[in-house]
Amino acid sequence: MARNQTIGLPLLAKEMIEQSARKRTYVVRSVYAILLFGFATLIFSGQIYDRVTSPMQLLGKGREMFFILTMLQIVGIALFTPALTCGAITTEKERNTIGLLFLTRLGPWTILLEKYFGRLILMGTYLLISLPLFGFCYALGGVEQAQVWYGFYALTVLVIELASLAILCSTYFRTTVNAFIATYLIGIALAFGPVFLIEGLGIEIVRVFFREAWSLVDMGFAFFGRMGQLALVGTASFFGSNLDGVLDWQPHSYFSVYDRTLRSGFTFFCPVPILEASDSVAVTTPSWQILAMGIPSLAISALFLLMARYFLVWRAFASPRRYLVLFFQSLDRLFQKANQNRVTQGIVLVRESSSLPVYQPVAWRETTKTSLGSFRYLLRIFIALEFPVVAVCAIAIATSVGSFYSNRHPAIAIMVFLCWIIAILLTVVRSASLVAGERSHETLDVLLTTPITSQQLISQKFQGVMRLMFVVATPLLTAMVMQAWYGMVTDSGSDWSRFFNQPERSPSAYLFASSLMAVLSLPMFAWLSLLMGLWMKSSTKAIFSSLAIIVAWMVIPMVVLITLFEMFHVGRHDGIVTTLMMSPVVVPFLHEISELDDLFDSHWPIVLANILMYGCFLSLFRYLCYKNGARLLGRSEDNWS
Amino acid sequence: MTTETNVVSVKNLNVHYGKLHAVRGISFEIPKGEVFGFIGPNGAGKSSTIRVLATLQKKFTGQVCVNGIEVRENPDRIREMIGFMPDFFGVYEDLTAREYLHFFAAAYRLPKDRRHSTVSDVLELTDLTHKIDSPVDSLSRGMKQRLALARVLLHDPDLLLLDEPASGLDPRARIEVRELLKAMQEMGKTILISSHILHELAQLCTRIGIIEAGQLVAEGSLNEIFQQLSLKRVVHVQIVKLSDEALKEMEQIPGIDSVERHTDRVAIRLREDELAVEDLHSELVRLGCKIRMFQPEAMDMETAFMKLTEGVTA
Repeated sequence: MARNQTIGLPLLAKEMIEQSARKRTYVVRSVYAILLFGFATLIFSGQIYDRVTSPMQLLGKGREMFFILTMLQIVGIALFTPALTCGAITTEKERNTIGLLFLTRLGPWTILLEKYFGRLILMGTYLLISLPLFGFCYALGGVEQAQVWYGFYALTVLVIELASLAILCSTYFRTTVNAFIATYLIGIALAFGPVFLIEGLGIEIVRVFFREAWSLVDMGFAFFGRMGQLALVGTASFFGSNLDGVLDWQPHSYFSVYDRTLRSGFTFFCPVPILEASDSVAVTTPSWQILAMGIPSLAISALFLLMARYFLVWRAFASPRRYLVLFFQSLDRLFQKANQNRVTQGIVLVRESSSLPVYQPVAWRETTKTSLGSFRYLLRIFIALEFPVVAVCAIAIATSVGSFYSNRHPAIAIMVFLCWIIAILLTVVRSASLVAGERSHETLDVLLTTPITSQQLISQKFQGVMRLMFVVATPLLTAMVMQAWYGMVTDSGSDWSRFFNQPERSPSAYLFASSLMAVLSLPMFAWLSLLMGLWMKSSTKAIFSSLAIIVAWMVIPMVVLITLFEMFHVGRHDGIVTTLMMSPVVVPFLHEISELDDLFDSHWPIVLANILMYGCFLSLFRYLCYKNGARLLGRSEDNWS
Repeated sequence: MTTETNVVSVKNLNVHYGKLHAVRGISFEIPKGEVFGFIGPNGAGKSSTIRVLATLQKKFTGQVCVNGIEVRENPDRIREMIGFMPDFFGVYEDLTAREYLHFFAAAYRLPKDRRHSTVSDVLELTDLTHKIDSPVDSLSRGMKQRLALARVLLHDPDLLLLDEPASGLDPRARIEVRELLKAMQEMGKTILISSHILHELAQLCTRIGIIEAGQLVAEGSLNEIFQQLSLKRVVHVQIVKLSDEALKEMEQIPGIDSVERHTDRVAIRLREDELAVEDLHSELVRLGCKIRMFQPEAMDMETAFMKLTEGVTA
């Protein structure tokens, strides 16, 4: 065997070839570049160019631009890395090729690392996209070369950590969709969980725990750093060199300048602390300490990879499990056990109806045999989901000493956003896989040869989503109710008069508008996802496409319009600003943080126009699903022409 | 044969997938109660033709009728007349066999009071009564195929469209499916079945259509196809003390194409339309041959298939 064949990296080579051959690679990278450059241009022009009167004043502004750019890259990496990495192992499982990989001479570590590096290289190209912008910042002055390298280092460590988390989920879960959702949920929990617990809810014990934990880490670094310094200086002096002052390890001077939890908001991820530290030290000398700040993140990455190695073999042939169903089933058992006591004696309040379908078989299956089934079941799920939301909001109100956004509590606002994200995510996943799932399970053809019309099929299928929307919307609406309650507690005066005159300060107005927007938006996203599911061949494609379209719909109108407004100096209260409503996220977001009136002239007309517009979109998507149902399902229909 | 008695009538069917011309002007008819075997290599156009009949193909040209109703004009009516079994059994992993059948009974709008008895009947026919409460996902592949056959019988359709019903089954399961298909044939169902297993089709089908590269290259009963191909039957005969004179006399018998002498026997190739196998035996006795073995070679469908097709796809 040729030498180059024995030391080759076949899996990595295959990954690279596959990525190069895929049109999607270039499309996604181009979209990323457009978004990054678009946002950068927008923010640079808005924050910096508009505030200088002569070109000379631009000199030294590179520092501000550099930080803006790095933050944009952090957001981009956080959004794209999990999506591009979580399918590395799951696709092999979905294609049933993982067994073939194990039969080769490639060991589990080789498989894992070659897959991992394949994705890291891909993400590396995303980092390189920003290099011209970094060069531009450096050219303007105000930022040291070392800082640029630290910035790159911070971003690289973030990519390594997120990719290892995604690979871990990819080895554990059976499908790409599950791995995708798990990666984002775990990532969000790691990034914002501690901040939410400490800042939002003010739980002191969490603050103390993280402070002590990081103190231990710092002590470890101080010890090993000092030992390393002594060893290097001693070795150098043995060979006649003097490294005193060159290798100067002063851990406390750097590690104590920030608190990973409180100042930066990131406990488990390092980019923000590294950027802050690199900004606060004398950057003209190499700072090992700054580089060492990435070590905890790298250690976490190594831990993720170690776990991934274990799961790669253990979970390689795991049969697909519906985690939601399993969770609900365990919940069901728990409730049944709790019901068997002297007081209730297994009382049944709601009896199940017939367990066999009567007239709407598809709806029957969607509402009784899928993850979210009977009314009895739903009631228990409702209680299980509701409890944390109510508890967190109640704690937030009880412990609150002030408010960031007038009559809105920030922790409850975060809870509302979190509920929004979860509700949209679950609704989209369920709705997009309604038809695409039948297609990938090869059950659709048989269903299409029954006398059920396409319209009936879609309508019955959607009944399953309706139930899910009810379940996921309830915690969202609960959080909104709690926010309104907080508004009533903190603000005295007649709510009814403010409903019309000062709606932004009226809890009832807030509740009315927010709940209406939620009730409209969720079905709108659901019908859009169903349309994508009708169109696409596989569930994974349908889900990713739906999510991509929704995120693009939220972001692109904002980027384009704000850029145009900045270019043409459109003021905040100019009528044309209302076109920002083209993004479905603008009005609900501003309404949630009580800043709608800061941007628009009038409150109610904007809210009602927004509701009307998205009501029309909802009707449009629903109409398109019904109208094109037969064509997209791939069958002849009586009205076929 | 008139169109009224034909359950299936296909005239000049053409199916395109983009630039691919999958089915090229196929025409055939299937009378009521007939089992029509559709044979062809992978990619020949069998499944495409079946999908047109199952109302799953939107774009095609030509005239396709089931019970005299044009597929494009009234697909909803057609769906009530057909039972379609695709080549892959998609699993509703969350249903039991009972729920699965009741699901489709409701989909076919069977009256509610008849459903229990119908489901029991089809389960009994397919010998799955003992698996009624087993999850569909837990059934063996053979059982799943039988369950699928039970499903297609629920609404008592006139026409069964079975796309590779025995593919991937072990020998026992194949025999079970074959026996089940024979039972359906006895029930008077018209069946269109595609398969790669030629031997089984030969045993089951009353007529056969061989399709290659989207074109029907032969159609008719097995004997008709052999005649179309002018295939000659070979009979192996062992004769005690066979002399050269007797061999020459044999070659002179009308209907014998050739006689080939082997060490232990002679292979006689005959034109069956001129000389039947049993007449050959009588002729040999008349010549005074003492016959120790007389073995006609089975009419081989594989030979016919290989002769008719060249392994070309559309």
